[in-house]
Amino acid sequence: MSFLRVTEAGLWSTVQDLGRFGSQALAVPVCGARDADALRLANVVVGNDEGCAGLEMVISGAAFEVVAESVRVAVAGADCLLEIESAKEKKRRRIPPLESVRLCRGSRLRVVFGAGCFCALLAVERGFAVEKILGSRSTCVAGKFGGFNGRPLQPGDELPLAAARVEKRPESLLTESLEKEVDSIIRVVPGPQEENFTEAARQLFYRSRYTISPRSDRIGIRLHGAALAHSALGFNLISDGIVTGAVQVPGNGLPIILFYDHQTTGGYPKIATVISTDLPRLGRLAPGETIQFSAVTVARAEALRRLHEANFQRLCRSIVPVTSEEEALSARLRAASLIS
Amino acid sequence: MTVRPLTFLPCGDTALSVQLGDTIERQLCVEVGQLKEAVERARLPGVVECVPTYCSLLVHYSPLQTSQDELKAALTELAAAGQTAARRAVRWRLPLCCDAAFAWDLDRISDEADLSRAEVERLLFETELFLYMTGFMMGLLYVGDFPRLARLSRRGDPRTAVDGGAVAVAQGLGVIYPVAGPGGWNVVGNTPVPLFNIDNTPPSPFTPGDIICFQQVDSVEHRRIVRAVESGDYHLQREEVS
Repeated sequence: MSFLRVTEAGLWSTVQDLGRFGSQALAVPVCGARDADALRLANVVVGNDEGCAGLEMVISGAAFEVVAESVRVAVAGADCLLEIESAKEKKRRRIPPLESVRLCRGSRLRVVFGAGCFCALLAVERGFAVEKILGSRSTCVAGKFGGFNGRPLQPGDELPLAAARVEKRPESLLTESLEKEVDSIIRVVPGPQEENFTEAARQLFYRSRYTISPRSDRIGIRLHGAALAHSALGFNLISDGIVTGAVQVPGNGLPIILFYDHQTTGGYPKIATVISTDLPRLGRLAPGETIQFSAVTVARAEALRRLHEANFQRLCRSIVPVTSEEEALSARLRAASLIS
Repeated sequence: MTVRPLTFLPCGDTALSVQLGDTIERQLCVEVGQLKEAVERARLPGVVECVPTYCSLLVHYSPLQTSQDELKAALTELAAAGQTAARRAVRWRLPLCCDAAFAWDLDRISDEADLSRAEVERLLFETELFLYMTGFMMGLLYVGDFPRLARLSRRGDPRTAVDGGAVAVAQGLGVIYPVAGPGGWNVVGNTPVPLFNIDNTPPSPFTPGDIICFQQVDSVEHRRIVRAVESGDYHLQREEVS
């Protein structure tokens, strides 16, 4: 069997694709990559379909030994890179994000997190050979299924590869990078239960700056900041369905952005919902970083998403093939001088 | 029958909540299920999936294939076309053991509700329970109703762990916990049958609108069923409701 042997697991590394849809009526959470843009781009760079399952790492990166004839990998994320040690040449190389590299048996790779990195995604050509359950390979930690044995990676794990070998060909490189913004503006559509909040609370929600709490996880991004007062309608609703990005406000008034592992139904009022375009940017933010909410209409949010997809397709078309380290470097320099 | 007016609540740019009412009533919940079936049958472009709850349906959609305006028009039309024949509900008979080892809160709630322990047990075993929805955790069932327990609140101190199969009540409703996990409802017994198994297709056989009847078993029978479940010799008892 061909696999990546996990030599360092990272803090919370889970196999994720673009989510498990179609079973939410049975209360199966969606799961999926917290930075879908990063997963999709990393996949495109290694030659996969954009929704192929990759490895999501948060806070710290994982390291592996290649136990396969060959494998092609790429990492994506803000301020991260791949450190590789080829079995043949015994020299270390650093590969920037969104550049593919082919590694042979015995090679080692490590995902290195820079100071500004919270989340990185690793894609391998043809993906990981983990079972598709209810239409997805995403790890469902709550249900202990999906991904690799339904849990985050541990040292010594053998993460199976779908392909035993990959062909030699020019590597691919994307000169654009995924940025992280300081004091990010996160756009939301007001509602579905805006009327459960006082007028003052609604204004406060958009005027305040919120800090991401260290108690955040893939179920919910908890926020510190101005507490929001509920109106006379209170904070106990008849349970209704929840979508990823819903900003739920329980009795203590502090908002929680429900994230990919969220429960499918809930009974707390939701003051607003993060637009789908901004979810990947939100997924890149670390505890301690701040955000501010800004309201847009549904029609605007839908138009922004279509624009986002058009930009994504344009980005995919800008992938450059390179055959050497020198070519990769000059492609990056060309791109930089075009921008500056 | 009159067509219920729909209220639409936007949930960002990938979901639309369709409210059919704002109460917990069997008929309303049946209509939510009917709307879900109608949406699925209509195969509206861009609809990803529908999640039914007590009195609303959350329609997940892709803004790359449709829009909330288009969906609202299509959903209004589907609702106006009237209810199609209701799906035939299934009656499930689930064993329930209320022996002291499982009925952690039974004595306390009989005090609070001013009913004898036998009366509470009679409510559990003689009510044809309606399955309202699945939510909170995979395969967790919300059932009702117990009007005589309407004023019974949830526990002030939610438990960090209740057993898988725990049956609990509060506010006139019941829940069946599929697996061990946190829970704030008042535990009155335990059913030894599996409610959710990821290896099955579908993982849960229950559909909102189904009827659930508990059948009393003692702890010896409970243990026997647990073993039968483990060895794969237990099959849920089901019959179609005429």
